[in-house]
Amino acid sequence: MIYTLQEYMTKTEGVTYILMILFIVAFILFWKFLTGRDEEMIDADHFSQEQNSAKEFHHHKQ
Amino acid sequence: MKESSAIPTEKNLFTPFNILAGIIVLMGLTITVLRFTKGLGAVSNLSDYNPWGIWIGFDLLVGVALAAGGYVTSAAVYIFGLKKYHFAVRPAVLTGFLGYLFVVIALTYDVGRPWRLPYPLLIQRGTTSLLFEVAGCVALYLTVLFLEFSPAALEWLGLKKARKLAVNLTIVLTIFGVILSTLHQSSLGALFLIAPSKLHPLWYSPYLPVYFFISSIIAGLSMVIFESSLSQRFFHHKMDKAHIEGKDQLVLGFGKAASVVLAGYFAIKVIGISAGNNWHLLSTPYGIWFLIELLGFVALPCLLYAIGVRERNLTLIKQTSFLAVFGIILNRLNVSLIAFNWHLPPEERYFPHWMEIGISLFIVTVGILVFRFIVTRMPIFYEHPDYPENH
Repeated sequence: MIYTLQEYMTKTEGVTYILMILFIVAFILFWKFLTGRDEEMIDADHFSQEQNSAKEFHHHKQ
Repeated sequence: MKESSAIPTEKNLFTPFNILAGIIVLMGLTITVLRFTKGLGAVSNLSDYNPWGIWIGFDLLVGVALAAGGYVTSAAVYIFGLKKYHFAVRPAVLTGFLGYLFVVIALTYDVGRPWRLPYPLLIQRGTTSLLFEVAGCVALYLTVLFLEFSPAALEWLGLKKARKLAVNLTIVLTIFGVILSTLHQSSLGALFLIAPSKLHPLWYSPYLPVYFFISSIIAGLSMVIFESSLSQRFFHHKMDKAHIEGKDQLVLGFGKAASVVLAGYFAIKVIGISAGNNWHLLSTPYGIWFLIELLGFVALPCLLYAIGVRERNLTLIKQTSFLAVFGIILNRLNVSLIAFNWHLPPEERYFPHWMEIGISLFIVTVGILVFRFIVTRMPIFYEHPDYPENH
């Protein structure tokens, strides 16, 4: 039970600080989810570009 | 795109949209005459309990938030150096300029006596008033947006020297625009700090200015995506190659940014509940309405944007932008109308008169008509042939 302002502030601020820590951790996970496929996409782009340049090379060679 | 192709060749005035817009404009003009001849009481349900209705809650608060695309896009391109979105600056600045212009026009309906609009800046004693700060910022920012938009109009008019001068001011205007937007977007939220006993505790927070500013960034990003998808549908023939090819990148980039900002906004809203120790109110009817706003129009668009960006699903991002924009509209209406005066008995609560809704509809319609007039004539979606990659 809460009887004093001190107890009220301790509880409220305590819950808020815990939430802040949880949000920071959640935000890192969210960022990883959001950008998780960016590297795959970049790799895929590079791969397709390499394939295209290889095709062009063979085309010119012939 | 050649300038000549931007001028409409077929003129069919009696399209369904034009007929509907014409009816709304006629209705709006009639109500305008009534408002300025017979006073507020003849056309509105405003009272001493409810002095601010939808002309403030929707036209002003929502209008300013949704016009944030101008400063968000300018800042992204000119301050953060994201030049690949350069083609999106002019449509965003035009939307922002018209948004603010019609906010000021709507304000004259609410305050009356338009010739006294400059009074806060010239004849007043309340320099510590938030309304003074908002009035000053909106007046200055409307001027900034007009100057930012002016190169397109000057290109159209063929005034090369004046255009060069306006283009040289771009960086200064952008920085000034961001500063002014930060100030007045947050101040609009701060207006409600004076009414802790009238605004429901779940919406009232000492962080209201921060909420309003952060959510204006979401509104700006989402409006640019939403407006670009509408423009692509209705003004595709006016767009040049850079605009058509860059649109997908714009949707992905702004969708990603909106998702991140929404995540931060969700976090600070929850922290707001915790800091006010208002958890027990979440199980009340107002609490459920608050959760609908928080989960349905903040958390859900955040997640949908993230999935859309991850899966490169442009359709999902465009649909989510509508949800996010609706969420911002709902938030502003909640703060200014729905959760405001929440303790009053139902018979004392405010519900807008049909003529108030008519004026809001009239202003939005005139805004769309002016937007259409400008983009079908001026180089907004394409580069003027005389100034290639130079604006």
